[in-house]
Amino acid sequence: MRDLRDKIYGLRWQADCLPYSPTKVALLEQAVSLADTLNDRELGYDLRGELIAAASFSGRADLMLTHFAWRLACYDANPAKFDGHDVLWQYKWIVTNVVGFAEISRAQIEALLEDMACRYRACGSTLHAVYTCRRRVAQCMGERKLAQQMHRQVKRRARDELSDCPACQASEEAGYYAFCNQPKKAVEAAAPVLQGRLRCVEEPHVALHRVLLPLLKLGRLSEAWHYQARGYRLVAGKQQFLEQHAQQLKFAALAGDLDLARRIFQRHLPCALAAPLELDRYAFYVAACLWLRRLREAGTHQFKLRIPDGIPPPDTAGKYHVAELQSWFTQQAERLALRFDLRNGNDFYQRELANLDGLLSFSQPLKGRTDAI
Amino acid sequence: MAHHFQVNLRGMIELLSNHLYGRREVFLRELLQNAADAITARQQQEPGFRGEIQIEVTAARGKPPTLMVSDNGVGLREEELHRFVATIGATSKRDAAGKPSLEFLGQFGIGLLSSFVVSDEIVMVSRSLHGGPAVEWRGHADGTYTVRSLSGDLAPGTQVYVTCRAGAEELFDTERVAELAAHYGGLLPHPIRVISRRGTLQVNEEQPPWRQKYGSEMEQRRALLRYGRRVLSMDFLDAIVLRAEAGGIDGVAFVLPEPANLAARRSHRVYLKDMLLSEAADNLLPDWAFFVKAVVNARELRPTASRESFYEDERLAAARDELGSCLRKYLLRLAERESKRFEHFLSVHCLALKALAAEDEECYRTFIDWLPFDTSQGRMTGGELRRRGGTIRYVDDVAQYEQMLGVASAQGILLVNAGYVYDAELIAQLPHVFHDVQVELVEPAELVHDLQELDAEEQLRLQDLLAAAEQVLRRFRCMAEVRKFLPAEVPCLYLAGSEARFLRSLEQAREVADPLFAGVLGSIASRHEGASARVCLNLRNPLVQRLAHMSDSAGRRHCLEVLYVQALLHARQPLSTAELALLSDGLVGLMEWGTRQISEKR
Repeated sequence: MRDLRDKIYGLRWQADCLPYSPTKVALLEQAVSLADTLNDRELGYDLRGELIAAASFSGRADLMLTHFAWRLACYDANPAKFDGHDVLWQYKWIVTNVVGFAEISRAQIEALLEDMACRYRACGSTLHAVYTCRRRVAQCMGERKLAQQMHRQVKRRARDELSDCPACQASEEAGYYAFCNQPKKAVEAAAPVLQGRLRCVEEPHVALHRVLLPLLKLGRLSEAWHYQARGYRLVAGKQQFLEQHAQQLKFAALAGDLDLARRIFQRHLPCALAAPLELDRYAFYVAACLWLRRLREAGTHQFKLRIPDGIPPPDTAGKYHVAELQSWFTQQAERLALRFDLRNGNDFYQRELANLDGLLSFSQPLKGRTDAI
Repeated sequence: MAHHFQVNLRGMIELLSNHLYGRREVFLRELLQNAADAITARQQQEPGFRGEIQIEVTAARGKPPTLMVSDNGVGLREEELHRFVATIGATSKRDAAGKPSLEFLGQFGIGLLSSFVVSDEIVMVSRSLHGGPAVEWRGHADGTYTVRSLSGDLAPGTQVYVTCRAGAEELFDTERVAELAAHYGGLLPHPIRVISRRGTLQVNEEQPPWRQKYGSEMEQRRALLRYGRRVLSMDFLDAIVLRAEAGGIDGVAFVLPEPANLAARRSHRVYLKDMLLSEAADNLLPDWAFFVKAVVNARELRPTASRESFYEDERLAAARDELGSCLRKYLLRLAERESKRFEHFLSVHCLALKALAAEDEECYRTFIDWLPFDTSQGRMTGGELRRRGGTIRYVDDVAQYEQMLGVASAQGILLVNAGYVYDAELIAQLPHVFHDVQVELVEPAELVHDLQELDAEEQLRLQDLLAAAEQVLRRFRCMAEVRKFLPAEVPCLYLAGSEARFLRSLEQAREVADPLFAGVLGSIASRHEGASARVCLNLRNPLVQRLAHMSDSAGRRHCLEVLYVQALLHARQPLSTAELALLSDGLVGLMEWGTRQISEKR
């Protein structure tokens, strides 16, 4: 038993020395599993707290949800013994992530939000954080009116110790305005983060991407390119930023750097295909559709790519056909759009897909020679 | 009509000093900065002029101590004085476009006013190089000041006298002042002299070692390492000179003597225009450069508002690329020419090399043959793996590797444990760089294919056993197989791929979760319907051989139940409630069966 405990602490220490990454997740998963064989709940509880954070910051929403459920049950069974603040804090990650799984019903999501609100209320929270989550969930479900209502609630409530940090808050607000198609307000809301006045572990990473499309819509191209480069450096090597990788791809395609788009596509496609969150996958597929459409319009019909199996294979000469890829990605995106719309009870995503021309109207002339691809 | 706010300076200073609590000593940096700027301005008009900064703390008996900082720079005239000091944040020089010039980053007014954090009265005496009488400015923390002309023929330059406010005494101690002056101004090209009763002490070197010329590389290396030990109190492995055109950067990167913690924030000591900006700049070097601690000066980068780091812009990005390439060149050269030192480097900073190889193809080609990997046949380098021929099989998860390790080693199967950061990426890249190499990612369940299959006769004989095993295992989403493998003592293996393992932890959580979360987890489980683990019985094991001949189906079932749980325990899997129940049923069943056998024999 002593040996096993040493082993667990060894794994934890190794994980501690690593940045958020699949390796860190794997080490902590192993540690959790060993702690469970010892039936040590306290150790399991602590290790899971770390695992949930690592999973959340490594794009493993499924794993995060699983271990959170265990942890919450453990806390409920003996609230005096465990740190509850931590569970409440992590609850925010849960509700904003579940909405990305198409299998999870709207009723389940609403029940989770209600459960979260109950728990927050019970500890005296102003619910500022809860409404911030609700606003995000409404956006992800394509419910504009609901998002606006939630936004008013967020504004009416005071921040408390369960609220996200000011940097995250500003960035969230930028995301909300971008969703409401108010590009100017989106950029303004993100300004303190973009200028470096506010920062945290996840910001400016996210904010830099939230303003890309708004800036493109405003025609402020040089700013957008500047943020694109800054942002990509921050997120390129990190899997949890798949949504941002999709935004990069979308931006590169629309702003006219198709070669950059190809590199982004090639680098992040494996993660996108394997992403547990279908919503992230969907965003990546839509961005890929935009890029492939622009490629075809530019006269590129086939090219070489280094991408994983699982999508239409290349021809005998090793070349992929743009038209085939485009139809594959379109189909995948349509399938997901349908599933989300059925779940959400509206037609937001199908409408988005049907209206890609609207987005393409913001396209910029192509950079460089396209035949170089 | 527009009105101006009446700003209460005292209130502002209070705010500022609360904000700066614990960092009040920065006032000295600001004074040094003003002095250095004044000297630079004079040198532009009088090329070759030798500037000098003097610092002295004096204390008359019964009175608070006073700190004096003087320079022989360009000096100020009365009207300049009004302009710079009365407007907070104004700088003494602007370029043609009206933007603050890069040459003079010291924000003179702010610089001077920051002294109010430790003082209620500041006196400045200045004489301009361009003539006119000397002037005295006397400012108070409440925002009032007086200016008067002085008679007498003073040499051009400026002296600032800061009188200690009660509570700031520790910052007016000569030793502390000398220490701080060396800390902030250590790189300044003008001598800084601290005058005390014991004499005059110059606190900065003429030139930092990377700007000096040495007879040999060895000598330079020694000088740099000595400098590293002195300013960072650490014995470094090596020192690499850094230069970048972009941002006007020069400096040195010290190779850390211990492996770096990848999760720790990088922190480098950076100077801006030779004045210390921060000890914790984190964005100057590429991400993979976590094996060094750098000391650098930048002439042309913008500091962030918090003055902790540099502002992220194109120039910084270009500078980072150049600095990264200094480090790359160093490593490539080391690998190619100095294999002994490279091996030593590798033994400490293997992860850094892996990070760099994963990012850069040229480095990949150079380093891969050196990089060590953990395999079922011991530690092997990339080169050894590559030259071995055949397909290199690797596992990208530590837990999965452990499941397979025992059998793989006993069977003589070579497996690479690529579960640690960068390893999987590096192995996966092999065939793209070396076209004669093939690699394959294996999951535990696939290991079964490597184990010896049964012949037709054995298969026929074991049909019943297999069917019985499948019946026991079905509800645990597990498939059964029989193979022959080593070590023979292992009766049965539990092999679960990542999906099956995830599903196990999901089911485990579902058992304890409240109905709401159980429902949510159920929804997620639905996408993994097809995932299953494998249990592989070992026909080389005597127990399994006997089991194959056992005719009593109840006894055999109980044996299989216990074997399954034992395989789980062996694979260090926590047991679910259902599995615990199975264990208990199996054991009780076996005992009943066993005792019945005995009593029947009697």
